[in-house]
Formats: sequence, C-alpha cells, structure tokens
Amino acid sequence: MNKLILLLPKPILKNYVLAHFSELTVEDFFEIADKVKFSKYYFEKNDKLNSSSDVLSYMLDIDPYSYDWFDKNAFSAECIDKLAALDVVIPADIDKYPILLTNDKILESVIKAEPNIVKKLSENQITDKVISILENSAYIPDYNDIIKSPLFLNSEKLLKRAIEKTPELILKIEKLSDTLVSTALKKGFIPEKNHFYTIPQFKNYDELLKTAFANDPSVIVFFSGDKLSTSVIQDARERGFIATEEDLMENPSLCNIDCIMEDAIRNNPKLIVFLSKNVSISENLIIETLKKYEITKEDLENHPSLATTCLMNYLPEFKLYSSTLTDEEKKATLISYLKKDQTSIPKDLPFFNYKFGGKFDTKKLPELLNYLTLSLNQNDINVQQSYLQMLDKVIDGIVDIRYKKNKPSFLYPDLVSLNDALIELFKNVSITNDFELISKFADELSSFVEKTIDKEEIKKEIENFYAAYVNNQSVNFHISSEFYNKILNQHKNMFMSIEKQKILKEIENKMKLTPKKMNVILNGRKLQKMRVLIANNEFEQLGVTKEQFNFEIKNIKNIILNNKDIKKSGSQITMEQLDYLVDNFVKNGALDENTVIELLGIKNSEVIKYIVNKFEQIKIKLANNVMLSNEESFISTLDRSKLGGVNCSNYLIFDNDRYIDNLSELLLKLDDDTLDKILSNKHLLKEITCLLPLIDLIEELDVQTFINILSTYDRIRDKIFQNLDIRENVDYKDLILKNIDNLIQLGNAYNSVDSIHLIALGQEVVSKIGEENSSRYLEFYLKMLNKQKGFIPPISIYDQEQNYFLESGIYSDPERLLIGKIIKEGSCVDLFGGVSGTKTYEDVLLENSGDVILIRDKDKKLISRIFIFRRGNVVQLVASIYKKHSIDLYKKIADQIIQQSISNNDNIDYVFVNTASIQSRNENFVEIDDSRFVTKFPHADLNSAAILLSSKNKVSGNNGIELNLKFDEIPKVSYMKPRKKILLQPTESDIMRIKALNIVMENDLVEKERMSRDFEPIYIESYEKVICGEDWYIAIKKDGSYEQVVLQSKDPRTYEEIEQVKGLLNLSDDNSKSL
Amino acid sequence: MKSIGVVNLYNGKYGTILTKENEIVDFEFKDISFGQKINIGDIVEFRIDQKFPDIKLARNINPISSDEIYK
Repeated sequence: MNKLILLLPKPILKNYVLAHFSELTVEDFFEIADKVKFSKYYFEKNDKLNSSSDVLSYMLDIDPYSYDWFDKNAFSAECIDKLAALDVVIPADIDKYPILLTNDKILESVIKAEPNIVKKLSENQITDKVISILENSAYIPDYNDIIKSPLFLNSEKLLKRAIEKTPELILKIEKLSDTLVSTALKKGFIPEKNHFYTIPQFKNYDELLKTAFANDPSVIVFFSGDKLSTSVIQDARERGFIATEEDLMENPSLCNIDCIMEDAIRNNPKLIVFLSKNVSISENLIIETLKKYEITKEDLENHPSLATTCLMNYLPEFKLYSSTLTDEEKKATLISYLKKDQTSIPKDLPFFNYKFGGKFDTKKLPELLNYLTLSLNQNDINVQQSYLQMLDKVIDGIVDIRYKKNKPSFLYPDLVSLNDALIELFKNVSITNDFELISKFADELSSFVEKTIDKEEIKKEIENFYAAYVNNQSVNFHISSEFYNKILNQHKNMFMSIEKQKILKEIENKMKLTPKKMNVILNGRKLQKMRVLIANNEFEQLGVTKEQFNFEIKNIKNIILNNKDIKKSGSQITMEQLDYLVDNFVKNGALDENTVIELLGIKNSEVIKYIVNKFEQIKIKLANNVMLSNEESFISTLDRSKLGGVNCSNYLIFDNDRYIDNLSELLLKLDDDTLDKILSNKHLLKEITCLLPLIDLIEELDVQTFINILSTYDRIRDKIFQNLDIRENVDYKDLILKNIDNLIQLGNAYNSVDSIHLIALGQEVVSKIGEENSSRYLEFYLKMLNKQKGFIPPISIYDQEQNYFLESGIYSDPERLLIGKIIKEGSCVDLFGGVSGTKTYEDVLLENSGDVILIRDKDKKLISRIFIFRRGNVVQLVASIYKKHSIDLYKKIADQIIQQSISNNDNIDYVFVNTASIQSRNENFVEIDDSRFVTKFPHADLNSAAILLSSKNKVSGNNGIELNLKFDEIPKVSYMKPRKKILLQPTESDIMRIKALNIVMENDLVEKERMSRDFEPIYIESYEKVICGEDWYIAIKKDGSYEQVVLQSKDPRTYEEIEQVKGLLNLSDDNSKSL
Repeated sequence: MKSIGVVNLYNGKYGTILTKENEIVDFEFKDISFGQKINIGDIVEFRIDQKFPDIKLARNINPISSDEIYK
C-alpha cells in the first residue's frame, strides 16, 4: 500500500480501505490493522486475506467467530488450536470446516452440541472420548455407526440404545452380553436357526435358544446337557422335529437319544451311521433300515463309534471293525493272513487302526514283519534238529533262572548257611552228647540231595569234621567247603534235573506230534479198532461188504496155500486148517502166533510169522476205510508220556503254526512306543528272531517277555557281551543262546516297573494285574483315593453260613482294582476291558453312584465281588454271571442298605438284585421287569428283570407292591467312607505301602525325586512300636523319637486319628520326623 | 536307599554306574531325574532297585559335585 494512504486520518483511511478491501494484500492488512477495525464480513471479499492463517489468527483474537468468514485453507494448526482454546461454539454445519474436527476439543464440543455430527466423522475421528460423549447424550447409533468404528462395540450403553431401536442390530454385534440379548428379545427380536450357525455365541444364551426354539423346534440342535430334557425333546418331536444329517453333526449328543435317532433314521436311513452305543433302537428298525441303506467301509471310517454299537451284530462283513471283537478273533484273523504270507498283513486291518482301538501306526507293520519273518521248512530234518538244540539251550537257561529264583528258599542256599548249620549241630552234640543228631543231620543232607549221596558217606564226613571240631572248637572252612560244595552242587544238579524234566513234560503236552508219529499212533488205533469191528462183523465200518471181506479172506487163503516157500519148508497146511485160522481171525479180529502153532501144528517160525502177517495185511489194506472219532484220535498226556520224550521223531520242535500263532499274539500286544523301541533295534533282531517259534512253551519265555527282550535288545546285548571275550567271526546267535538266562532276566528287568510303584499297590495286586500294567493301575488307584463320599451306604456283613466277610465303602482298598480279575481272567469290567467294561469299572470305583462289595473267605482272601449301583431311589446289586450268590445273602445286604437309608433320612426306597446274578428264583420275592434296569445302568451283562429284595415300605410294615421307581431322582444323602481299622501290629508291607504312596502322591517333582532316592525298606524290629492307619503311620524308634508319614488326605478324620494316637502314646511334635 | 557312584559307561541311551561298593548298576536315560546331561566320569547319587538276585537298576539319578559327597 502507498505510504501516503497510511497517513490519511483514520475515518478517511477506513473508508478507503473498505472501498478497496478486495485489493488488499496480507501485508497491507497488517499495515493498517491497528488503525482500522475490520468487520469479519468483509473478509469474504478478499481471497488473499481470507485464506491467510496469519490474518485468521489475528482476527480470532479480535472476534473468535470471525473464523466463519475465512476459507478452510486459512485454518492452520495454530489457528485451530487458538479456536479451540477460545471455547468457540462451532455450529453443526461443520461441513465447511471439517478440518476443525481434527482438534479433539473442538470435536468434543461439536459433538456435545450436536451428537449427530458423528455420522460425518471418519473412523479415526471417533475416539473413546467421542463415544463417552455420545453415551452421555441421547444419541442412538445405527448400523452404519457400528460398522464404522469398533469403539461403538465397546459401549454397551450405546449398543443397548441401538438395539432398543433396532433389535436386529444384535446380529451385528460381536461381543454379546446378557443385557444386550435381553434388550433385543424384549424389543421383539426373534432369533432364527441360521443365526446360531453364523453367530456361534448365540448358543451361549438360554433366552435366545428358548425364544428361537419356541418358533422353530429344529433349534433343539443347539441344546445340550440339562437343556436337552425329556420334555424339550418331546415338545420338539410333537412339533415335527426330525433331525437331519447337519443336525446330528452339529450336535452329537442328539445321537444318544433313542427317539431322535429313530425318527431321523426312519426319515433318512443313511443317518443310521450316526448311531451311538448309548442308543437302544428296535431290532426291526435296524433290519428295515439296513435293507434300505448299505453301510460301507467309508461309513465306518468316518464314523468309527459305529463299531461300538449293537449295529455290528447285523454287519458280519464288518466284524473286524467291531469293538467287541475278542483277542482270540483278532488273533485268528492275523493267523489266517500270516499263513498265506508271513511277510504281509493288510495295513488296513481295522483292529490295528487307531480309530477302532488299534495301538500303533500300521505303516510300521511291514518293516517290523520284515525283521520277524522266519522262512523255514518244518519238514526239513536239519531245521528240526537245530531247533531241538536251541530248545535244549533255552531249557537250560530257564532252569538256571529257576535255580537262582528259588535259591533263597532252599534249606541251605549257600556255603555259609551249611557251615552255620554244621557249627550249630556240633554245639548241640557237644552239649547233649547225643550223636544221633549227627545221623539225623546226615539223613537230612542226604534228602537234600535227593539221596544221590549215600547217608553213610555224608555221616562219615560229618563225623570227621566233628572230631576236628572237638580239638579246635571250630571247623576249618577251607577243608569243609569242599564237602559243602559237593552237597550244594549235587543239590543244584538234582534241582535242575528235576526242573528240566518238569519243563520237558510241560512242553510235551504243548507240542504237535510229527505227522509221521501221528500216523503211527492213529494207525495203531485203527488196527486195534478193526479187531473189534471184525469180531462184530461190522463190515460197513470197515468200508467193505461182507462178500468183499470174504473175498479178501479167500485171497489170503489161496496165497498161503500156494506159497512155494511154505511148501519147500515141509509145512503141510490144508484148506480145512486155514478155515480154522480164518474162524479164529474173524472171531478175535486178529491172529497171533500161538494160535497158528496150535491150529496148524507147525513149528517153522518163519512160516508162522508169514501166515500171521498175511492175515494182518487184510486189516492194513482196509485201515484207510476206518474212521476214528475225535475221542479215539485224542492223544492224551499219558499217550505222550509213552512216546520216549521230546525229540525230532516225536514232536515238531519247529512248528510253523506255533511260530505264526506267537507272531500274531506278539503283534496284538504291541503299542506305538514299544514298536518304536523294537524298530530301533532292527539291525540286531535277526539274532533273536529264531526264538519266536519257541515262545510260550515255557512259562518264563512268554510273549510279553519276548517283547521286553526285543524292545531293549541293544542294551541287553551290550550287557551280555561286555563281560565276554568276543573274537572275530563269532556267532552272536550262538552266544545269545548260551546266555538265555541273562537274556530273559535282563529283558524283564529293563522293562520292569519301579519297585516303589509296585510296593504302593502291594504284591497281591501286582501279581494279578501283571507288572507291565501296574503303572496304569497305580494312576487309576490315585483317583480312587480322592473319593471320600458316595451315595451308597457302606455295608459290612459276616455270612456265617459260608464264612464270608462282605464289605463295601473302603474306597482306598487296592484290592478293589481286581474286581475284573477275581472271578474270571479277561473280564471286560477292568481298566483294559474295552470301552463299556472300562466305563463300568470307573463307575464302580470312582463315581458316587457306584460301589463294590468285596467278598473274602475265612482266610481273608478275596474271592468274589458284587457291584452296587444307585440310580435315584433305586439300588441294584449285580454279581458276576460266573459267581452268583443266594438270594438270602443279597437280602442281608439289601436290608442293611435300607436300614441306613431310613436312619439317615435318605431317599433310597428300593434295593434290587438283577436276575442275572441269582442262583435260583424264590417265589417269596417279587420280580419286576423294566428295561431301565439295563438302560439306566452301565454295562454289566444285565437282564431287564430284577428281584425286589427290600424296600422302605416293607420295612415300615407296608407290604403293598406298588412301586414308585424314580431312577432320575437326586440322592438326598452322601455317605462318608468308613475308615479302615488302625493296625497296632502292622506288617512291613502295610508300612511300606504308605511310604511308597507318599512318594507317588508328592506333587513337587524335585521333592518327589529326592524322596524316591532316599526310599529305604523298613524293618519293624528296629522300631519300638509301629502303628498304621488307613493313610498314615507312626514308627517310634527305640530312642523315643518317631517317624510319621501322612498321605495327602482330604479326610479330617486322618488327623484326628493321628492326634488321638499321639496323645495316647505321649508323643510330642518335637520328637517327630516327617518323611 | 541312596547310593553314590561314577558313571562308567553311557551312550546317551543307557549305561552303567560303578558304585562306591564297586558294584555295577544299570541305568537308562529315563532313570535320570530330570533328564540332565551326564557324561562318563560324572558322580551321581541314585537309588538301587534290585530286580533279580544279580540285576540292579539305578533310579532317580542325580548328578552331584564331588563336594556334595562329603556332606
């Protein structure tokens, strides 16, 4: 601007400037700004000024609202901050100046004033503060708001408003809450079935499910657990619900409902593949459905649980998939394949598949078979002889093992014991002067060596030693040890010889006779049989007619008559004489030499033999026609004992069938872990594979032992060979055979379970379950220890009639683990009893609604068991079908249970025994038929009928038979388990068991290892007193201090007992040591 | 009962320990308490688990320093 204009008086200058406002520059403006006051309205006319941030900044100081006349380009950050600081109220039509909203303060003030402005904001502009402002306003977000910014989803308040206005918005909300759901429903939202698929969270809301179900019964597919009640199911079905394939896949628990499955299968037979083992549908429906739909292998592969259902009874072609396939059947299948080709078993054998209970990856099978295959010809005599030698070495090795095992129990196991006995004898003799004692001792030693050393010889030796003893008051061990060794060695030889004979006797009965020997024996029997057949004229059984037989006789007569050698010998034989011979032959079925001599009067022995043989040949010729029955063909132990022993002529030492049998059994016992261990030794296996045909002939070398050897063979081999001087070109196989005893013992030792685990279970239990399974049983036992209460009152009965002790409720008794083994080995109610049986095992031992009564004889030996199950107000007793009991015994049990129910105000109203468990029916007891006696209880070979033993009504005098069985009623009372009696004179195994359990139950791994390392046996005689409770013991030392071990227990009575005992014995905590 | 010995054979999978009493005791890797790395010559404490008259196994094996032997 011209400087002269600036000198004009203010009013003139103002007029000038205002007239020329549009021409002003920013420079001009600031030159005159302090002289002339400009109204904000003018800035609209000048683009230079209204786009200048400097000018805007200046004007804001004068009039904050002047911003409205400026261009958006004028709004620098500084101007915006200034505007914000001035608390200017920005109007809602902020469109013109969106940049202002980049300032949080302005933004917040705009939104406070006009919340709807939020619709114009970008996602980034919507902040937590904005959300907070909106929450405090009346703003109702809509769908677009929600999808624009995730922050809306964090505001339950805003979401609730949105849903109140538009309930369907619930479908767009990721994070639901009870409030939002109930708001939507109140506002009329009706969920549909497909919503539950697209928004899985919906399934978590009962209200949504109920509302949806009310409109559409097929929503039942999303119900589970308690929601899937009988009334709900009935309601759904009444409104036409039939499950589809998608429904069953979505909710597998529908597959456990009888009526649902029946409807589904009737509607679509293909759905039979969803059948579960818990479902019971009619046989007719199954048969009808299978006519309409053919189950394929793929169906079983895709629905492996089908293999556990009753459907398998109708699918014999898929037998190999069935979970009820026994080990014998599996073995038979394997044998049939291996007999065709030893190197190959189909990899897809179902029972090897994990899905159908298999235990290892079948891809590894061909490799394993490759190393276990033996291609030997059992008809080759060299093979037989080589195996006979091998067998001999195996027997020797095993006899060695037996000797070592039994040695500690021998009367004189070693030199020291013999020497001690001798010294004791001499002391007694010198005191009593009774020399008869020496004679008796000599007799004893002679018996010790099975009289193979004469008593007098022994007596003489002892007398010599006694003489030396009298002089020196001692026995020279160096001299006497020669005598001792003689005795001990002879004893050893006798022991081993006897054991070897025992083993050979056992083997004899297990081995197959050679075909040749078999023929000889059977032919001999046929000839014997033919004597009778001929004598009885039973020509049909001889395979000929009477005429044919007579023709044979006639032939023989002619041959004899015309024989030149007989004529030359001078023996005169007439036809009449031959007829006499024939008569005799036919009468007796045979002809002997004496009869020939008598009837023919000849003495030429060759002629006599010739004639006898000729008649015998008739029988031999007809022998093939004669059949022997099974009984007649049976080769008994006695027959075998007459054959002359185990040798290649009598028996198949290498028997291909036995080898395949053993191989099959071995394969069935393998699991992944063991298979991997075996394959890690594959390059060495050929050294011992040769033993496979000899497995299971002798107890010590059974299949499990062989598996133990295979899986640790590298370690065993190294151990055996480390002490041997191995030369080059040595035959390792031969070396191993010479060390069979080590092979077996090391195999078992290296696969053995830690002794602490065995002690924790107790020797009795381990001997029945097998050491190899003991770890799994121990794990299960620890779960049993957690059970403190049950819904079944414990009973305790002494049955005088049979001298039985019956007891239930002692949950910590390790003998309970044997409920599957006591009566019948291989019972399915066991830890490894198969799916159903294992479930029953768990129900009985772990669940509150199950228990078992253990029955012991007068020697406290466990002999039987009775399961008890409670369902609602019903208790059912179930014994094994192999060991049933009398109704009287069951009645005693039932009465005790009902008495306890009454005295505890429990709701057990009825006690039944299943009819499968009774020896015989008794008309004094009512029998009830109700399928729930099967369906409501676990698998235990139950009938649908049960006998009512005792009821509350009867006990209270009401003899009416009206029953009100409520299997689903909730039990009112749970009963604490009874405590085992405190033992004032426990055995060492009682104490050791607690000590071992204490280690096993320790949770701190470092501490557990330390305790294990320090684990020592307890010798009771080294303590003053030991007292043992159910889960604790106190061992008082002779110096007054004491050790205490208490298992982790949830039972307060444990500590009460301990304190009581300590109080009685005056034991203070200062003297204690907890282990 | 706790014993002490020296590892005299070990191939990473199994081995033997020579005890203070000059007995040979067998062990395998899984018998080492926490799978620690041990070498031939290491001193270890362990428990003897007797399995047959003449087979002894070492369990709960823990390597120790020579100072700890004298504690």
